[in-house]
Amino acid sequence: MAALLACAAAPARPHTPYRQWKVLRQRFLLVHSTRTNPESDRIAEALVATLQRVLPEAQAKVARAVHEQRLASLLTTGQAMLAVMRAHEARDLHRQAGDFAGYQGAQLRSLLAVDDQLLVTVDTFPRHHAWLVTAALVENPGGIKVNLPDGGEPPPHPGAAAYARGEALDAQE
Amino acid sequence: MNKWLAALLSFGLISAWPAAADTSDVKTQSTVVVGKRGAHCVDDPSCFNRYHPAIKPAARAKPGQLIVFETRDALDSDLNVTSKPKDVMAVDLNLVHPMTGPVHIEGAKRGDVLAVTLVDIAPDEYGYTTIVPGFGFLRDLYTEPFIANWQLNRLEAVSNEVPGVRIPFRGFMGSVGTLPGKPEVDAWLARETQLGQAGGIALPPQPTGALPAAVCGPNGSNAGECLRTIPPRENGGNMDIKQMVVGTTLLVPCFIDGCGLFVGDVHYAQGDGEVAGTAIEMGAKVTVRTEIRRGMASMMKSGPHFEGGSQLKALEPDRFHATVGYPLKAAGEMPPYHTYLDSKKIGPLSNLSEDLTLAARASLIEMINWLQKTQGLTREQAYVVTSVACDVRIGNLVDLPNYAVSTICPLEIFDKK
Repeated sequence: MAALLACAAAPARPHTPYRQWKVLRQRFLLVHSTRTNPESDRIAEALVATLQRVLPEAQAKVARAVHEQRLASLLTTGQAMLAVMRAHEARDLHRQAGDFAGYQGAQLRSLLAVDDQLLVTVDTFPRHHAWLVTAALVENPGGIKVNLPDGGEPPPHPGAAAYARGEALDAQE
Repeated sequence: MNKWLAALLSFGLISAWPAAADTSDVKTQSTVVVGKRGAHCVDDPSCFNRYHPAIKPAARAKPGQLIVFETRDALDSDLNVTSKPKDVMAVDLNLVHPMTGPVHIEGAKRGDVLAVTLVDIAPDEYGYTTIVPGFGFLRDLYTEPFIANWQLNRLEAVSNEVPGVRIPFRGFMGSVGTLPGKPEVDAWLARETQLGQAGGIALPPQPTGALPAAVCGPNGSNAGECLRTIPPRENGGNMDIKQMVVGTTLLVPCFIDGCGLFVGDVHYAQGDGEVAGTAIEMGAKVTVRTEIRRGMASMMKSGPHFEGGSQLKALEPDRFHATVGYPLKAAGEMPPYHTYLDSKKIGPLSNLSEDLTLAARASLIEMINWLQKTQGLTREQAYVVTSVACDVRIGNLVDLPNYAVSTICPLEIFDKK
């Protein structure tokens, strides 16, 4: 776990065009939810509680978007790295289908499943950070049941997939 | 006429004329209303959030007509009185700032100046001030999110998050301006691209969330050319100048025929500096009147001008406390504003030369500390108060190397203890 903490001290560095937001994104590991999906907010709060306990240097926090389209905008324009979404909505966003037709959703990746919801990220989320977050939540589930991605859509993030295969963190650098 | 009717008329009990109501029904001016439709800018054909000359007018008005703009808050947000810091963390910057318009001013040509007199601002009932980590003048020091939800009327704003403070109504248009022409778009994009490549803060076109989508969206006709609304430029826009209150007149160049006048991002109140990154942000109904000043645009190179009468006096505090700052810092400290310069000189120094930004920072930090100690505010509350009510002002630009900046806070905003 010491290795986890050491690596978590350098939180995710997004590719956002909003340079002023770098401070925010570097300081906090934001897990997004939506007001229109209260279950996503409950799950995000639970995941953040675990991350705050297991990876305190990541300074995890919940950020609540108003609805799924806003969340899609944040995820696909470098303003969000982690989010809890309904699985079918994550699939639609990845396919750029339905309500998500206007978003560059092909970059979406999955980390974990919680009931019918997914913890998703984007392909620019560093591989070792994805490994760390996945490991922290799988090994410390707290009050919720988390599962590794099943290989469906959106595809698993390489870091989460590597953890699922039993690869070590050092191999993700 | 029979004798009974004649008698009633003579006593004024009935009228021989059609019934007239009170003065409310008497109209003396012509008004164009650019109304608000839908919950958000995306739902509203009179709303846009990027600048480009290809954006079609939402309305037309003649000089002298009153124009009423129904505007949205700066973030095109869903914030309300129950909003929490975690709602602030998910703000979508792609939607900043929704503007109402553009309005084609009949007879105005490229090269003219449009004089825009602010006649009235009717505030919404709710406004907010946020501290968003990564945003604002002290973004390196304020790394936790905060929101103050304000209850507004035309007298004052109060907030449960900043108890004991009453902010008087001093509304103005945070953003007001005209659409750029194609030469301006090309030149401004070029200089901002160069700045961005040098490590400065410059936002490139972002088609996601851009409105109108037909022009600026991912499949829009000019997606790669639409300017962001965040920086103010020669066409006005997001100037955030608190002195542009009711009764003052903004003079802004026209870059396209008809000017393409727009209004948005109205502030209920703001201090000079808007230091926390937001003022008291709100939607509003804004009434203006325009006049064309022929061929005057050549006199405006650096940006718009504005003029007025006694309005500035009314903005001054009854009682105040002020702090003074110089361009001093701790040796080894690199202020966030200078990092893009990659200077090896700045870090080790404890005194910079002719640096207003650093002087303002020192003055502001001093004021925040003073407010905490004397008014019992938390550091977040004090930062919000400086953003909405305190004025960061230049003292001197001559006393080398220490330009002086003061931060002046009115004292009448605090409830007597």
